Amino acid sequence: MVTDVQPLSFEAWVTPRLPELLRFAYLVTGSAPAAQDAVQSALAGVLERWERLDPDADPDAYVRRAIANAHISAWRRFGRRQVTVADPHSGTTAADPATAVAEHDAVWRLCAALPPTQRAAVVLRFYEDLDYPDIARILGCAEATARSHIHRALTRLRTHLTSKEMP
Amino acid sequence: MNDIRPTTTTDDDRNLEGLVRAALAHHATLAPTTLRASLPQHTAARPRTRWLLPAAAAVVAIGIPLGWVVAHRAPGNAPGTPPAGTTAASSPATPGRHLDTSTWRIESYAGVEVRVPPEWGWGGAPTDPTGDGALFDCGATRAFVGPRDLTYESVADIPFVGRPVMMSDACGGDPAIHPTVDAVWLGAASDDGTEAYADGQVRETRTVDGITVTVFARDADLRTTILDSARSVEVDGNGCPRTIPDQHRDSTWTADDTPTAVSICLYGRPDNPQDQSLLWSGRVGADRAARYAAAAGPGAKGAHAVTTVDWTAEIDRIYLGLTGPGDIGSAPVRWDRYSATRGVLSPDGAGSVLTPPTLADTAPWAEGSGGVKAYAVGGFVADPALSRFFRGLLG
Repeated sequence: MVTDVQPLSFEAWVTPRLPELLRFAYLVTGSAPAAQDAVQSALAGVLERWERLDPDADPDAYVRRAIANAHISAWRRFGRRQVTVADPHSGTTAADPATAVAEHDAVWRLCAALPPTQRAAVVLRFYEDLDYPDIARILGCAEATARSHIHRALTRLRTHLTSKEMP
Repeated sequence: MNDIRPTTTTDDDRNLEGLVRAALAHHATLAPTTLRASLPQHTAARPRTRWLLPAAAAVVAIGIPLGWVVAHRAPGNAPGTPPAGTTAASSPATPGRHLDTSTWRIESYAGVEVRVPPEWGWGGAPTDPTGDGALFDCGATRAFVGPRDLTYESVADIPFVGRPVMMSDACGGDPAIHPTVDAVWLGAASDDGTEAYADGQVRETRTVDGITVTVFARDADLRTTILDSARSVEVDGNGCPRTIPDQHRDSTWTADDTPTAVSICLYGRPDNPQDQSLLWSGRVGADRAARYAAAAGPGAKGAHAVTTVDWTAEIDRIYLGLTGPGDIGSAPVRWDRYSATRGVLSPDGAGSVLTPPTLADTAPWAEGSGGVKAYAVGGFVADPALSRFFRGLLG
C-alpha cells in the first residue's frame, strides 16, 4: 500500500530540536542571550530556505554551522579578547560534588577563553560527540583542520591546567 | 601544511577530555530552554517585506554564504551609517512623539547627562577592563540593581542604564549581544546611527561631547526622547561636576548654611581606578542632608583634625556635596570625600577633619540608592552594616 508522504514542516522539525539547539548555542557562545539570538537567527535562515532545501540536506548541521559561524564572525569583529579565568583544578576527577562544580566552572572559563572556532570544535567533539568528518562539515573546514582545532584547544587547556599546578 | 601529528592518548589526555566533557555537560544544563522571541513562523502568504530584517541581516558576510548574524557593532562604519546587516529603524531627523519626562531621573556619565524613566535599574555596558581595546561583556545586557530591589545581581528583567563597568567577573560571552529590554548604555563602544536586530530590538546611538549615548528600545519615541535629553554639562542636574572637585577650592560652605541636599558623585570605575571621570551621580533632599550634616564634618561626633589620609587602597572616589539653598552651581556646597573604611574627609577652614565611617554618616545618602549599590565599592568594608550599601569589587 502506498501512502502520500507529507514533507516535514519546519515547525515539526524544529520543535523537538529547540532545546538541544539552545544547549549547543549556549556552549558555543557562553551566554544565554547570545545563544537565543544565535538560534533565532539560524532558524530564521533555515525557514527562509525550508521549502527549497534538498531532501537530503541536513538542517541540523546547517543550523549548528550557522550558530558557530555567527559566533566566530562576531568574535572576529570585536577582536581577540581574554576572559577572566578562575583558578582551575587538576584534571583528576573530583569526588566532592562542590569540587566538581568548581572544576566545571574552571574548565568552562578556560573554554570561554579559547578562540571561537576551537571552542566550537570542542563543543562538537566533547559535547555533541561528533567525529572529525562531521565536525569538519559543520565548521566548513578540512578534517585535518578540525583535528587541529581540537588538538590546539586541548593543548591550551592542558597548559593552563598544568601551569596552575606548578608550585 | 597541517602541523598536527599523530599523538598517543595518555591517561592525562583522557582525564582532560573527561573533565571537558563533564564541564560541558554540566553547563549545558544552564542553557536557556526557550527563545526570547517567537519561533520564526512559516507562512506562505507572508509578504516578503516581513523578512526585511533577517534578509538584510543575511547580507552580512560571516565566512560562509548560509549563515547570518544578528546585528551588532561593526567597527569601521562611518558615523550615522547603519552597519552592514542592519536596517535603519528610525531617523533622528524625524520628529517623534516626545514623552513626558517630568518624573524621569537624571543619569550622568563623564559630563553627559540623560533622563530615563524612574523605574529603570542599573547595569553594565561592554567594557574594556584591560585597556587594550578588547571588549568584554561583563554583564552588559541586564540590570544588576533595580530601583526598588537593592540586592545585587538578582534583579528581574527590567529596563536599565548601563555603564562600561565590570558588573561581574563572569566575562566573556559576546559583546555583540544586546539588551532585549529597553536600555541605555553610556560611554559604550557604539557607532553613531541606528540598527535593528532580528528580535525586533533597535539600537540608536548619538555621540555627545565625545561620549556615546546608546538607547535600545523598540519604541522609536522612547529612543528619541531619551536621546534628545542628552546634553553635555560641566555640573550635572544632581550637582556633580564632570571632574573630581577640589575639596578646598570648590567648597563654599559656612557654618551658618542650612543643608538642603546632598549630591552623591561617584568617580572612577571599580575595574579601572585610573579613570577619574564621573561615573554616576545622585541626589538626596533636605531631610537626609540634615541627618548627614549632623553626622559628618566639623563638629560631628568623632570628627578629628587630620593632615593626610591614605586613599591608595580605595577603589572608587565617592564625593558628597553637602549643599545649601540656591541653584545648582551657585548654592553653597561642602565637598566631602567618603570611604566606608576611612570615613568622611571634610574641609574645615584651611584644614580637614575626618569623621569615622558610621551608619549615621553613610545611611542618609547611601540607603535606598540603586546607583550606589550598582557602582560603588565603598572600600574593603568589614562592617556589614555599611557594606550592604555597596557592591563587591567584581560584582
